[in-house]
Amino acid sequence: MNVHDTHKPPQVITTGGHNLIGGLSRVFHCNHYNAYLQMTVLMTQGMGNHNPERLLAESVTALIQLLKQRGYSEPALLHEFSYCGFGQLQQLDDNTWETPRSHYGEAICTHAKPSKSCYFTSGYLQGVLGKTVCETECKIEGTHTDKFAVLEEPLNVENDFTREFELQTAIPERFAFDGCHKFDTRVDEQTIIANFKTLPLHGNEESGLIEAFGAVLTNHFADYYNRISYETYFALRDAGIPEEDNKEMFIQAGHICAFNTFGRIMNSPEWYEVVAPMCDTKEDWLHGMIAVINFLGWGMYRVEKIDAEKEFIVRVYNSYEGVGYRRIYPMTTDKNISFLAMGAILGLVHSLWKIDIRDKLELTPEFYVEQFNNPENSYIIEQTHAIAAGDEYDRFIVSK
Amino acid sequence: MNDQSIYAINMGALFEALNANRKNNGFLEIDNPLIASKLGILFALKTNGYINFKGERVELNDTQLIALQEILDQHFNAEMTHEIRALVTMQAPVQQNSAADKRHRSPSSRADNTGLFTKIKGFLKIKSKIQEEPA
Repeated sequence: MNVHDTHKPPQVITTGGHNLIGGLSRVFHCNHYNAYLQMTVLMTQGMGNHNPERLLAESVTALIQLLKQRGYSEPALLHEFSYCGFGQLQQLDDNTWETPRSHYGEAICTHAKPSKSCYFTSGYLQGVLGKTVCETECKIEGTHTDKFAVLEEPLNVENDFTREFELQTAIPERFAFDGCHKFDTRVDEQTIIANFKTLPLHGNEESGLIEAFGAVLTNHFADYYNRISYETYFALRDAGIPEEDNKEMFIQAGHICAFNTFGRIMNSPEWYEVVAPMCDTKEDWLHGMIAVINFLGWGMYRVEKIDAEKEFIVRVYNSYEGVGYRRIYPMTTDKNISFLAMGAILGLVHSLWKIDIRDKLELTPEFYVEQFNNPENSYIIEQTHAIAAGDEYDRFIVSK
Repeated sequence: MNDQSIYAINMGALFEALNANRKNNGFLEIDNPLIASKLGILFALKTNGYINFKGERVELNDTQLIALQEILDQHFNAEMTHEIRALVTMQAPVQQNSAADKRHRSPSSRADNTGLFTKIKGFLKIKSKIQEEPA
């Protein structure tokens, strides 16, 4: 059964910097980020009661169960799988499904030996079918498709998203808040967002993949990222891993995301058509990319200060990490906790002031290792305010 | 009591050998800071003891050396038996009283935190002082 063409696109509601589908926050992320983050989660394999494979699968099962409670039908869920760029789900028989093309089966292997990687797809199917599902074949291991077996084992997945935390509605306008420095820029955020909204950033009808800007994107569940990241972070912390190493792994994921996604966006024809003509300086490029980020569903980014010689300050209202944290966990006292935003903002500064993306550089993995991530001339980042710690917004300072 | 062999490995040389191995097998290179952080985490999870791989060198016993080889194989897709054999230098044996001593021995405490360590800089600025308010 292939239901991809049988339904209209899901309704997307944008509010407070979040893109909601079925009431759940969705965020655009690329295969590079997804691959790196999954690798980090899987590093905790064999760690006592912590089971990263189950975490990767069941974190989405819980979200699909929520969508079903909100009235989603099975065909609608299968259609949304493709629409959001996860691939094409097809049923072969009562107990077997496959994805001829899939995001996690094709673009996810990082560093380790190739092994089955479609935990997300298994978990998604578990939610759809209400049964335990396990992956039996994966393209990463050289097969033609990813295959999934539906088991008779009972499915028992708890919903962790039980805390109420509302999105902030009173978000200050760009450059119009206490503490914001003066900026002189022609960059028009609303025009940029309106233009990017017209791009076909949904799964291709044939493949169910979103290929854009030279990367493979997903319109993913924000709280999937939140749960797999923070559960892994806590597990590593409880195992005695030093904070610096532990956080570094997650911040690095954001940094890789900035290099690959932001970098490719800033090299793209769409950028040169819409954003670059508004830009006279590096600072304008930063404002332009911040405008694009505000389209991705990551929250509402606001630049507070740019002092290229000293520091950059960015606030994020409704950061999806901060909001997600408050919906899953009690408030924390740790302010350095929005890892994706930390790595992404640092990477954005690196894109312009460490390398110069305006030179249309070729963004190869070798270039990442040798230049972009080279400790020489690197900046460092600190989070001073965190929604997860009860602050009104996340706030980040990038400095030398 | 038994003698426990101790092997020293220069981390810079290990990172270089790891990336050479990956490159020879058609895989991408990995940053040294990332290798060091990842090794530290994986090693702690596997052996129940943390070692700082950001130092200039580490000293490992037989069991830890095997653990390192297994981690490089499984998590970095690099079969490094020959390279590690070539890289290690053997230190004077130390006497140990029990298995528990071995388990709790912490070579990381003897890792040299100069040299390479200063070049492996993390992204995170962790401050203990009270967070400043926005201007």
